[in-house]
Amino acid sequence: MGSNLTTRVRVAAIGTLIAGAILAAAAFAQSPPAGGDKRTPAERAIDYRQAMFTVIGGNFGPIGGMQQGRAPFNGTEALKRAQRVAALSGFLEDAFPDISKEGDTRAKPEIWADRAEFDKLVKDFNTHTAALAATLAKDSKSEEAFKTAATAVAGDCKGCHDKFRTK
Amino acid sequence: MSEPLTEVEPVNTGDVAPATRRVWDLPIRVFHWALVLAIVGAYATNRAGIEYFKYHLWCGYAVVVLIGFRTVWGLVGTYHARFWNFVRGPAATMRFILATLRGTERRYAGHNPLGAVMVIALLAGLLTQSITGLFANDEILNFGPLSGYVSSDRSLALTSLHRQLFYWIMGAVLLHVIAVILHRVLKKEDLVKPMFNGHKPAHSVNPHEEIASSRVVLALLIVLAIAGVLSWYVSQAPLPQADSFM
Repeated sequence: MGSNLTTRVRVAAIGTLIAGAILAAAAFAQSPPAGGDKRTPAERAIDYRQAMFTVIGGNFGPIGGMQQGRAPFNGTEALKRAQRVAALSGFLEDAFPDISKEGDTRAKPEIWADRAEFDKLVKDFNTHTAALAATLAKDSKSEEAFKTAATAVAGDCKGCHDKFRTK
Repeated sequence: MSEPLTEVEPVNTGDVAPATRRVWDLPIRVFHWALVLAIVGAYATNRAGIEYFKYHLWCGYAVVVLIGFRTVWGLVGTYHARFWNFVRGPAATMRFILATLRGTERRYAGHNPLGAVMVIALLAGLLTQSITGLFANDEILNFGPLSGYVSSDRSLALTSLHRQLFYWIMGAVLLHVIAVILHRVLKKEDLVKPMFNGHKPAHSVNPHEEIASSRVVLALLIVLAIAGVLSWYVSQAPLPQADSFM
């Protein structure tokens, strides 16, 4: 009697657990996890791109400050920043997927309409950021060479912003 | 102002009456053409490439001082420079437009009521443009000299305004030039030459409408005062915030 009751309780308990697990799994499959990512793929792509420009800008900022004389020239610091910007610049070519064309972004539709021109500007940016890092790696003391190379990078930023970013 | 031209010109050395009368003082003429140069310069130094952008700031300073000067000159300048003497209300301006369409408008020695609207529009537009420029930044290298006074977000909002207002100002400048051409073609009236030499034909200016002096010293003092205040503000401004956010 006693063992029979125990068995029945045990079966009921296991059954409840299995049913609960199945329900939980079904619920889990249907809705995102608590606190999960509710963004659309387009929103995620735009966030990714903007995060990248934030990091590029964050590292080019000190370079710009030295280039413009707002901060004293420091070759070691400039080299570190330049290497980061050069590495990040390589991410740009695929930071503008088609799905990210529309949304909360200052990227103009012309980027996708005139992709060849846009890709060329990105390529220039890759080239000039690499050249800036190489210039500093070769001689981190030459402020003059640094300024010239940094101006070329800044020119790429402006050229592309003027053309492909909303005012 | 609307008296008939009955006065006989006094004969001095020769036996010819003066063919022209002075309307625009020297400061206002220098102001006008300096402003043209500053606007062209501001445009060119933005388009020429980022290495020239520092000169864009110089052009901007020039515009601030010039517009500041013209505003003060509109209060204390010579007769045709003063706002009270040429700015008219909407009703009077509308009457002038209707009269112009009928071909019955009277001739003005200085700005007519419609020209006054353009003067105010350009002054307001360029004042806003030059002031927003002081607080702007290009998110690359260049910071407006006063951008350190505002948050990074505010600076970017003002930059956006600065970029968009350019097109409105270009529209106004285009209308201004078209109006001058229409005066030339339809009314056979040359407005360009008087803006260089200050004089208009005597038949279009009543004797009492002629200005006696250019008040050049007063104009110089105003320019120096405005330039002094601007450079004081620029020299006292904190560094922009965006370089140091890391």
